[in-house]
Amino acid sequence: MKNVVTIDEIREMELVSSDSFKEYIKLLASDLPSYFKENEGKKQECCPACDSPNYVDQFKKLGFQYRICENCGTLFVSHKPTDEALQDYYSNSQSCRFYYESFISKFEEGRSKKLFLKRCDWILDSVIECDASKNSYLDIRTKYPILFQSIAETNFFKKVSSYRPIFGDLKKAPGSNEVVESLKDIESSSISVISAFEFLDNIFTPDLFIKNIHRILSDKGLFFLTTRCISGFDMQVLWENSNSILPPEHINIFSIEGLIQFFEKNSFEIKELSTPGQLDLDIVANAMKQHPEIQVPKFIEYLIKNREESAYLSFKEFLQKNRLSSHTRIVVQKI
Amino acid sequence: MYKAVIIGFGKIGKLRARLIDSNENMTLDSICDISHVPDMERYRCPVFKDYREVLKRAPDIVFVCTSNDLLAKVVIEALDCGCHVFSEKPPGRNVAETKAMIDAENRNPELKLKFGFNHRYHDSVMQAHRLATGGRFGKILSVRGVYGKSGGVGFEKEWRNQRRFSGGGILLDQGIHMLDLMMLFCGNFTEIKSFVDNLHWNIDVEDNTFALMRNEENQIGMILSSATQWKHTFNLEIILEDGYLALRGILSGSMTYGKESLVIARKTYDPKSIGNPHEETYYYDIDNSWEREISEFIECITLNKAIKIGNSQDALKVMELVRRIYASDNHWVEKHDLIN
Repeated sequence: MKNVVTIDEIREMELVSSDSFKEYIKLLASDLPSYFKENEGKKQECCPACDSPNYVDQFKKLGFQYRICENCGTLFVSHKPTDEALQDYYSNSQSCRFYYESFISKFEEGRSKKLFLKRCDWILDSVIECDASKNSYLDIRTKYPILFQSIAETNFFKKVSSYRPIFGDLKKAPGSNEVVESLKDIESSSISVISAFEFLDNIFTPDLFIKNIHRILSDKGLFFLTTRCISGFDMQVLWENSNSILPPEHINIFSIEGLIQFFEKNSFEIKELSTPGQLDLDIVANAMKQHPEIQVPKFIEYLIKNREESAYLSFKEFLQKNRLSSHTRIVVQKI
Repeated sequence: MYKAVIIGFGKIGKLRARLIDSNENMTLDSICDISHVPDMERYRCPVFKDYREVLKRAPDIVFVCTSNDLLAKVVIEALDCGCHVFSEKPPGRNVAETKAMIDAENRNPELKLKFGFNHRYHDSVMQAHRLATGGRFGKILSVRGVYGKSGGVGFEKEWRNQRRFSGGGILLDQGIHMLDLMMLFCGNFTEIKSFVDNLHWNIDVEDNTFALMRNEENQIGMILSSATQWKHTFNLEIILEDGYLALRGILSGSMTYGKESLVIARKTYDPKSIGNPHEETYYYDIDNSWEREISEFIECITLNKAIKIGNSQDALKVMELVRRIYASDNHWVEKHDLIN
């Protein structure tokens, strides 16, 4: 298993301004009570990562109860909202529209393009490294059209397609050879490479999802993911105050241990598990500045207030090297 | 299912036994070692002291894990008995022994002979090779390698450090892996300058080798192979026209050579980062090199394919290089009467 330490990785939060984010939170707080009733939907009795039935309730956020698995440390919500409520929320809520319309437009900026090319390289290099087939590429719920287009333009894969189950009304992703509406319609063992960026933490049935991914992947097929990880520094420090824990988008926040168990039990070999996040310390520092009432460990407070850039860089490297940043990227291979 | 035997049941012999045990294409038929080794019983197979006894059992594959002085002899007999052979490195104590093994291989063209250069199968090495040969970083300009260990209590008495058993010191024992990797990246080196010496240990083989090498494409290789590297070190830097790759640390049985990593960087003339380019580091947690090495060997036997890595011709080339590094230090040659 590989772990990559870098300073050029991205995650969606790094691409949006804090003003946009504040507006999003405001809309979210106003939308959620009208779309989701408390404790409505199916009760989640087992950890979505390791299936353990042992959990402890942690905190409530915007009406959603979060609990932590005592076995692997994964954080998850107590109730899965109904499909109807979700569909209604994704189709009609102001916050959802704002999120996709405002944030995605940011991806057109030059800086983003450069960073997305790095991610494109990551996929292409890993396919070569893992000796996987280049026949077909499928991006799950294409969130980053520039990235998708960059991959399509390389002609590395014979066929590229995009699957968007929730935002089916969005226009066809540029560069796509095909837009797929349902994973069920995809022939078994027909896709060589699949990607899903910032998606695992949004889905209510990760087990079903990953089984479907396994089914449609060809032999030695690769699955690329990026996701939030509860083992990460900023999430561990800020916990319920973390802006990275926002329902209904972030409902399964796997730990590193949970991710390993999740993929292994679903017959995948983990080829890479890295936490190349850059902003953990900055996120905590910003949270302290904006919300002085948040209590953080004295050591962290001291580090942030009394040390300079070189210490920040060393600390970031330490987090990445030990898989302790909250931004996680994973490559798994079907076995 | 191939019937495999192991001749020589030291540290590496035991490792091979575990690999055979977990390989679905092989079964461990018997083990041979001149002394009784406690772990032998674990494998519930016949144990012999004389290697000829295991050869009489008509194995398909013989793993030769003996001390260097017996390698060539056992490899040759095994091949002449009709067995495929996997032999640990080095390929004999000297070039003459390597050539004798190749003669036996040529007498038995239907059989496979492979030498254990497992470093080429490490994830970091494979990735570095893909990057270095992929064209994205330009041509290789130079390679610089340090491979060293500290020795320890009883180091002077180990067979590895007695010329009559080993044929050479740290360069032949450990440095040969680094030379093999340098040749993977640069091919044959034709011009050599070296210092071979005992800087510390009271042994009749070298404990340090410093060598500078150049090939016909004007690529320069520099190696330090040392038994006085008090902190165990594996470090190979590949300098290319447009960047560099640095292999730092390697996963080994002892786990003392640091976390295996590959640093990748592109050169930059950006004033903000000139001389200190952005580096991306890959860390590797699992050593798959041993399994890959055996899988390739089994595949070559099954499909009657030529051995790609660790074949006898590569073995001969690296042994020739070792010989020339020794030979280019006149002082060392005279001291140990190595002229012949």
